[in-house]
Amino acid sequence: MTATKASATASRPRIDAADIDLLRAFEPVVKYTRGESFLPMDVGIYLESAVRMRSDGRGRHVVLGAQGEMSEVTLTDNATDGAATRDFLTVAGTGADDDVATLFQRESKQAVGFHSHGGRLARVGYASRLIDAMFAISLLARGRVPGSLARRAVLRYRSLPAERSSIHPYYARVVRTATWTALQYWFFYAFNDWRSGFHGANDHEADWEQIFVYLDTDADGRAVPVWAAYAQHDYHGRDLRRRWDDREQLDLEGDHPVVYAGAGSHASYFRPGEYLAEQPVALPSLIQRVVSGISHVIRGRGGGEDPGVSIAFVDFARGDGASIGPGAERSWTPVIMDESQPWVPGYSGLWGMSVEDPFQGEDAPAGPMFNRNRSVRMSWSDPISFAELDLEPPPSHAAALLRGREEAVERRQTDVAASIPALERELAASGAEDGASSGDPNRTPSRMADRERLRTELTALQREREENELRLADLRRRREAADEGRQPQPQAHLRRIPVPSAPGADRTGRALEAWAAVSIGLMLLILVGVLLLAPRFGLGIAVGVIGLFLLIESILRGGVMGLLATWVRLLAVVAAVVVFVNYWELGIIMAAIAAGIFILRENVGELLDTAPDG
Amino acid sequence: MLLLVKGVRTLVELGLTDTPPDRVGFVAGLAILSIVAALTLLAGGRWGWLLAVGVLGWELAAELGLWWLGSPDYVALALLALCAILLTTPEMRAAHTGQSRA
Repeated sequence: MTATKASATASRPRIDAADIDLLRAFEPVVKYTRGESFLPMDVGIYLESAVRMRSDGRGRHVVLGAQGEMSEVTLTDNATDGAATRDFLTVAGTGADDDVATLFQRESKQAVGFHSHGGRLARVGYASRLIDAMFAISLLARGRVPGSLARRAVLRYRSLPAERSSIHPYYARVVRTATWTALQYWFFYAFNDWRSGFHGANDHEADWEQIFVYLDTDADGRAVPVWAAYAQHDYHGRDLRRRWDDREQLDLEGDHPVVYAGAGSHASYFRPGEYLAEQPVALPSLIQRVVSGISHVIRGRGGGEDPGVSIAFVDFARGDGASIGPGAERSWTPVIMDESQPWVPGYSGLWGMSVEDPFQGEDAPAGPMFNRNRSVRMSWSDPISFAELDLEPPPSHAAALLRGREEAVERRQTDVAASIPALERELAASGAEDGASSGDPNRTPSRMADRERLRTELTALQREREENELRLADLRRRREAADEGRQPQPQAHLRRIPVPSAPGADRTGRALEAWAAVSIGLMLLILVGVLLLAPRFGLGIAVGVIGLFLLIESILRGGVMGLLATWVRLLAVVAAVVVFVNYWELGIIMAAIAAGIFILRENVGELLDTAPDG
Repeated sequence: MLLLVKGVRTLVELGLTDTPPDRVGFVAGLAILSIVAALTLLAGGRWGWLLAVGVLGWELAAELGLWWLGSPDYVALALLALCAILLTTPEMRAAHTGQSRA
């Protein structure tokens, strides 16, 4: 493939100038964290160096396409021979390790120019750190991207000539529906090195990220941006979008939304900062209940939200590094992407190495159109519903839609109002007839059924009339608000808003950071040592060691009071159990007496309250 | 109140019984601490709560130790456990210290 900007637009059959203008008008500014190794790149350049493989699901791989054979045109022919087979590409997985070894000698493992300003472990407690340690150990057992792969990917990316690495395409499409126009922007990265470069949750080869801008049209037919949505792993539906006029939650540079990309993860954020992502760990329900129960007993009723078990990672989206977009030092190369391009519908495999990780965190993603299981992504098939905008009309449509709804309800209300008097008369006549023939048992049952039917029908219509009145009042209020251009609060739709901390704001003392880094490993080593050297006193010493570690942690965090309360509560629970085990009959009798007194008090109180005066 | 009664009772018992001289200081100190804790708790504030919880914790640990060694005082255990649970509820802790999370 030739090394020119033209390569980025080669083999793209349908260039719609109006779409390009629209995409250009609202294209984002993406700001990265200093130390970021990978920026958006041309898929053509990536494919040139890629090898295409097919995995049979049992660890056997077959080479389908050698280096240099792949392009945006030839990347088609989806695997069709069974669900177990999976196609994947790899660039970093090819070549010798010599260059990687050289890189290891030259540089530290952490990304160049990046400083975390405080260990993530110091930001969470023991339980999370213990789970984190288990997670790290699990990486040895489950499929994971080898460290050398990340290094090699960095090396390959850096070795690209400047004229190639300076091409930053976004792959975009314009989706027009009866209500909204969605601009969908995709960014392709050669590698996600969040784990190896930035102490994050995962590494994987190839990375696709996406954002959306949703447009309405004004009276002159001009496009008006109303919402921006950034795809994020832990958020769904309406929590993904921010209103264009929400200056608190959405940064704009002119008409361009600003995206703060997570270091290594490339996850998109609306605000700059450091995001503590506590990824919940799904434990078997029995264990989860036991953990919650213990937590409830120790912390007490109302002692705060059940923390569950989670692993903490920090996603650094500082925005203090490179930036791409209007006004930035690097600019975009827009590429229209739709189903007419061979590789978009034609390749449903993974874009990077498949390590067959059961949690999938270390497996490469599929392309823009597909999920890893080859189903079509919802963000592709229905970008409007993806951000739950299917339930929200564009402002220019809202008043007319509400008016139409209002008129329909009014029509129905007229029909209902006309039907009710007739039914009332019929029911009254039925009652009168029954009254006249009440002594005739043979004729009454059918008339009774008829009367019940009339009564049911009338009751339903009367209820509908009242409900319609309420609905009409609500529709009028909403329509008037839409007529006047009044909108709800910009964040009224949000269920959950990620709150970043400023870079370095969560910085804890060096002592706590050091303690957080060594405590779990040290505790395990001491406990093993105690069990080996002094098994007779093992339990007592182990309890003492754990207590000492907790005390040190609480002193460093300034939480001695909380720890004291927890310990004393624990002792009280043990004491209560001891007493109950020895005097359980007495305990039950006391509980029964207490219940009896309580019931008596309640009932007598009620009796006195309801007694007639005097 | 329990702490107050317990502290006073211990001091009275100390005068009436033959406590080994090497334990008198410790027992008397703990008794006085109990009384101080009870009084400061009644006066309100974080230090009163902290002292009271600390003394209760110590008493509980001591009573549990005695139970382990075969000399249980179940009445004391039950009363101390009740007091400790009540005193460490988030509401009670918040009322005395302004912190709610245990």
